[in-house]
Amino acid sequence: MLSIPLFIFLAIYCIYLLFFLLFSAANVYHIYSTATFTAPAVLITVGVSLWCMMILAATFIAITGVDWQTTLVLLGNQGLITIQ
Amino acid sequence: MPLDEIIKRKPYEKIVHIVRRHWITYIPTVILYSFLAIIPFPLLFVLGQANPAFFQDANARAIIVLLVSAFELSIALFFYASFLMYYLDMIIVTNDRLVEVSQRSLFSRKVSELDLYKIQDATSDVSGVVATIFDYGTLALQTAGEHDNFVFDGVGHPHDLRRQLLDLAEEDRKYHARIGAHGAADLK
Repeated sequence: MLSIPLFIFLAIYCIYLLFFLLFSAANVYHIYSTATFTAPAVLITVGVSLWCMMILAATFIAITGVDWQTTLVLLGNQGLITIQ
Repeated sequence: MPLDEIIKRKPYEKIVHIVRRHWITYIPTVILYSFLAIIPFPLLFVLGQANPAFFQDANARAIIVLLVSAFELSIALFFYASFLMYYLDMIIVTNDRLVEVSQRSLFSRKVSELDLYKIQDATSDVSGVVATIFDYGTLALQTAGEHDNFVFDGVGHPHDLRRQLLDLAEEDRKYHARIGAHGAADLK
């Protein structure tokens, strides 16, 4: 039996978000460094930014109220994954 | 201007054209990423039908939300990176040379240049129904010396570009011939 607190998943997600922000910043820096502030570049940048903000907002709304102290039991006797 | 720094523009040089691949060549990438972005939703629907009890648990839903969120953000990130690679691939034509900027990945850029007077032959090729309708194709430049030939795929209006490049190359050749005859100092 292997128990994992649910907040571990949240911590991994937060670390992922950090990498996501770093790579997004690197992408935007490329637009800045080549001075390609043209209509298509700005349109795609704004579109992708809005898309990401919508995903983050939907994620935040969906995980509000979750008890992150709950333990996830892997390979327990009640099945492959059990949430206690 | 940062573009000047990339090509190290000389004082007498002026940019005549900035050529990018035709936008239609990016459409398959848009379709691919749109398809990838919607994949989790039918998949979750099928899994929800197969195991409804698991999906009714709020904590299980939270894990799935985090996974789907990370997947969707990754798709957005890769889509934007692919757009940059498409958009930052460009050919900068000046009155003196042609600079090809090739953004191979997020942290890899190749810049190669060719003096216009070295262009010996130019070939433009538009083949296929879609390419003919949207007027895009391949432009190949044959150069003097040991340099590799330059080949640009998916450029818009390749026939016009070929003609313009040959005109510019002819002008540059005349300029270099004048330098050869009178010396650079006389021309200043």
